[in-house]
Amino acid sequence: MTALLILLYGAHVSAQNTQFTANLSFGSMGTQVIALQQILNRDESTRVASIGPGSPGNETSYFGSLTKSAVIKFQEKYANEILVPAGLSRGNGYVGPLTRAKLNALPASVVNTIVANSLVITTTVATSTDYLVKDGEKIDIYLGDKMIEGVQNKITSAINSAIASQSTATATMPFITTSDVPSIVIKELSPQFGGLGTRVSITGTGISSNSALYFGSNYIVRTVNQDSLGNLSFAVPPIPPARYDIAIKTGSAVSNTAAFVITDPKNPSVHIQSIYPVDIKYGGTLTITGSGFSPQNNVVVTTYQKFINVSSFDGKTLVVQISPDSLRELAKVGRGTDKVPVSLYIVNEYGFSNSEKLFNILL
Amino acid sequence: MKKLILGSIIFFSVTIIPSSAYAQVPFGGLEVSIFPCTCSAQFLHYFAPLWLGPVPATGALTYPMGATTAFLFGILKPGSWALGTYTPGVQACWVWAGKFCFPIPSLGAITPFTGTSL
Repeated sequence: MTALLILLYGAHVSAQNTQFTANLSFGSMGTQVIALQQILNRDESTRVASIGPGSPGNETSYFGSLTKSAVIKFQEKYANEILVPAGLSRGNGYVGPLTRAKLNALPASVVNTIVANSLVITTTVATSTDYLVKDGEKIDIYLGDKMIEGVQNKITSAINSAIASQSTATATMPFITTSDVPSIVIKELSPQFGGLGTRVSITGTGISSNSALYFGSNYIVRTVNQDSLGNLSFAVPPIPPARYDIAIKTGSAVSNTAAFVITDPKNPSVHIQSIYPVDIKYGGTLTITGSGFSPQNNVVVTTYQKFINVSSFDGKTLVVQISPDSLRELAKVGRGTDKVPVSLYIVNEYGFSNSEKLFNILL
Repeated sequence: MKKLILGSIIFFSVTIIPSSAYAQVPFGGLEVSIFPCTCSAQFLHYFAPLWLGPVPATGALTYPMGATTAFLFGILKPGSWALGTYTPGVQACWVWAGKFCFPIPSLGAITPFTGTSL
């Protein structure tokens, strides 16, 4: 049970509490909804759900019917402070000024006491505000990626020069050292997606329990857990479901980034059905069909090119132009018959595509 | 018939199994760049850092182009961490330049089915 609680709430305990600044109602979304569900779940009599989405440790950012029912119970429990001043006799599930005032007046650090198997366990619940990056913690999470991009540019430039020289001489490659790339490297996150509380293992170099882990530029997990065997991990924090670029900072060094998706059970899964054409000329338009594509935030990752914020008007179609900078010179001199295999997958706020597809660039 | 079978075994032992198979060496590294070798049907993968021993270095390894179709979610791409073995030696990546092919040097050839991450 202790392990379960640590899994659900992560390593952080906090005395902070969310201040509810906006009215919330059925259909609302966001971090304040997560915080609302967390507070409602502290009290068994106002619990959103006992299992599944909305249950303790599985709070979501969506204000649905379960949340509304729980809010009604909360309002009726504190009727004298919420309903009576408003002239109401029954709760309505609308988190307006009076309900918010009561929520905000709850103790800043609410202690849960859970009795299980005669063992009394005390925890405090962390909310999304605990994971907001503070002024002194702000970094450019893409510092490591920019170093890698610099190396890519040097290599591309050297090869392009060799192509342009029209010589049979061996290409002169740039002198690259390990100081040109990040000293902190994320090798793998496993799994690459999951909901609140999911335990994610990290493998890499230069990562320790003193490292901080950034979810995008705005959220931070301040301590990476390290077990007695040296395995590193973190629990997915209570922040909005979305696709995040994860970066790790150790000392002043910043790693490369890796994608992680905090999933929401109500979101669709991402499927690639087909790509067309399978053999495409440089500069040609590639059409990807499938399902679960986001309206605006799809990232299409290919071997040579990464497209961000690709929109899909119908959730089933994506269109990208295949023109990677690294192959531009090669395309100019190409015979048009060399097939260069390229892999492609998609990641968006719903998750990673179910498969990786292959197509060929004709050079 | 026995001679034919014996002969076949010797033939395959000598010609099909690479003589350098025993020389495969473990490596690991962060893929930072990939380039197609249009004259030699390979990819050139540049790794930085590249771990070939206790001290990290940087450098390029080739990988056969046809072998990539054997992967699902395993194709080497920039940003992925590769882990596997390679055969040291001069395995140049040859690139078409319009009239001729020119070589790009590499440290060796990756053994197909190298594992990747990310």
